[in-house]
Amino acid sequence: MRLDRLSTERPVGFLSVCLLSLLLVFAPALRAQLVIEITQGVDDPTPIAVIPFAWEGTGAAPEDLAQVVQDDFERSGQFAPVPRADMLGFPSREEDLFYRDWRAIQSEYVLIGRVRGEGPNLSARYELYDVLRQSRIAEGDISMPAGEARMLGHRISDAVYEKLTGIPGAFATRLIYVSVTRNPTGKDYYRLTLADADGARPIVLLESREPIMSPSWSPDGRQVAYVSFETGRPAIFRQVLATGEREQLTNFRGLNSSPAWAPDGNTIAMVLSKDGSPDIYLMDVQTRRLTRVTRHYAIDTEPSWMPDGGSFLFTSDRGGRPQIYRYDLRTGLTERVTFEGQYNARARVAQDGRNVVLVHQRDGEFKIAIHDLVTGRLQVLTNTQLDESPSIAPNGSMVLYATKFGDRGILSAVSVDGGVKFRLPSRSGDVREPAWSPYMDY
Amino acid sequence: MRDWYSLGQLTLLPLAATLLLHLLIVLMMVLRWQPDSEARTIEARVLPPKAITATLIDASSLKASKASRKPAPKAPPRQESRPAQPRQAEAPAPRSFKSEARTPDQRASSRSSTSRPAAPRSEPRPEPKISAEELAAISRAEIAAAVAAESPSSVAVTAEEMSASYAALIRDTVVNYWSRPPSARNGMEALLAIQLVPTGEIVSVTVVRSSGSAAFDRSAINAVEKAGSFPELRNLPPREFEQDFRRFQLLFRPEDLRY
Repeated sequence: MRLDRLSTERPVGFLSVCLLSLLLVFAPALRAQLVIEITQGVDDPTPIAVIPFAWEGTGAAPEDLAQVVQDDFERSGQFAPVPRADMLGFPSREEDLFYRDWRAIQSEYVLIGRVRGEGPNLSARYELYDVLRQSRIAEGDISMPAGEARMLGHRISDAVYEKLTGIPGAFATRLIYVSVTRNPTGKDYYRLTLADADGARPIVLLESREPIMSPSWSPDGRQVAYVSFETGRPAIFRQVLATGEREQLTNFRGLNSSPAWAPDGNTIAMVLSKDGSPDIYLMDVQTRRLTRVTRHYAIDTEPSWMPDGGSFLFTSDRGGRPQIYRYDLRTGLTERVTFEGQYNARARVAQDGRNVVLVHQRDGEFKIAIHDLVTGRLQVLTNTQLDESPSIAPNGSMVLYATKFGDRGILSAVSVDGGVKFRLPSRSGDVREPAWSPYMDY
Repeated sequence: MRDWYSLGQLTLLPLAATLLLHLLIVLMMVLRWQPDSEARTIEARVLPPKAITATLIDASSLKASKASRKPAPKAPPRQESRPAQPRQAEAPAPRSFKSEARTPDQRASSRSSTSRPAAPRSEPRPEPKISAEELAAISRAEIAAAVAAESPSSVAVTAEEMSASYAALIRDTVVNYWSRPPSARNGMEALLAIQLVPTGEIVSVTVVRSSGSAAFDRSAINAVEKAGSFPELRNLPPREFEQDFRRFQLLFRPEDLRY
């Protein structure tokens, strides 16, 4: 009542009341909303349930594809697959999927799938669900020849991995490596072997009683170049994987080693000592024309191309000790890249053009390290003693290298952050010089 | 005086009272705003708990402490708790209330470097009497208390600190659940809008500004979803809840990655 009178009869009072109420009304709007900044994280492996895929075909399923996918995720280190024993059911369709069950076992994602045989082909449908938001975030159909069932699994892994991490997966890729079988009574056996990226399905490409060394992939993943001593002295060969057709590229006196296929696919960098000390040459694959690139009385070896093809890294002892240098083909200038430690060699550049894996000597032990070309920082990844021949996955996430386990040479892999390490199975003998393929087209 | 009073044709008393009331509200608002504007980014304001010995306090005792807010000084316990232990995740705000509700001589006791809750008077000491320094400390604390009671800013600072410590709680909880994808890089930013209900349950999580990477955005959303709820916010008075936590934003911007 009094308020009424006040507001009608006293214009000044009325105005001030209006003003005040206006202020009160707009007070929340004037306040900025609270913003909490999150600048750290824990980066634990993400739990994912890979549910056994349903087989919709005749006879028995050719391969447990879900197991292939689950093993891929396990090895990546970024995912923690839910053990099958913990699963509360094996749904293969969306309508059978109860998010509650999967939330209960703390799985963040669920991958379901169905596989069926279609004539000579095997085709799979996969669906990826986000348990927390209860929605489908990826699905797809992939088809492969029936003999490539494992590759089909790896391709599902690649698709899901890319969806979840933002970087392409490198599971459906392959490796080549050299395995040596010791023969106590005579000459050793050397085998150039091709296998899936998980070490499964090894195929022997070349067998020889003389050493085989330095396998290198062509950028399209269809050919390899390597050094073979089968002619009695080192020579560089190239071989087409699909047909087995091979060609001898060099037969110079002295060293013929370390072929490295340039990103354009037409040039191979190699080390020859025909003109004196080992230097780096470029060979045009079509015309076989040679160009000498480095000229130094010291040893220049182990070239590795930058992804743009405009420069390459190599190892040289021109400073007294082996270190990594970079030669720029556009300017013709050489600059030293590594400065940390007494020994850095056998560099391999990742596809991002930034990370370089190399062999680094620390405390008398040879370890795999990663060097950041932008910051110049070097980080040791392994804690074994005789690590050699690092090779980085095409997506830059893992490094494959050769090391000693007991008295045997084996292949090991480590993630680029050093967090995950695992060994690749090998049946017998020493395994050395792994080379991780580029992405393959199918 | 009487002339001026009659000039208004009406009794000025209710008008004056209303104006005074509004002025008070404005004053309170202004005093709240000032620290607000600088404290919007919570990042730098990690507040340690006010007192480590605090236990859970229910709503009734909250009200009681609110009632006894006036005589409680703010500054001494704050300075004291700075170098204290790393902050714990549970309910920092009740602690702030509790420390507020302490009496001045309790404060003096904690100031004179004893951890015991007893007043300094009753402490076993070689000297049977209270030393001059202690007396001075007590009187200083009492003066500080009186001064603090006079200035209304102590109330504002408290509310501010309270929401800051709850913001820190939310941040720490989310940090523990945030698993970044390998494609994450330092400097990427995703801004999420969060809506809560007073029980601390999350009602909605939406992307306000995407980082440009779906995997990064999803990792941020999942961090919030995995945290699920912030039940500690139940201890927050409704006013502070409405003000800061009904709707707020989370900025995900990694700084601790390799590059």
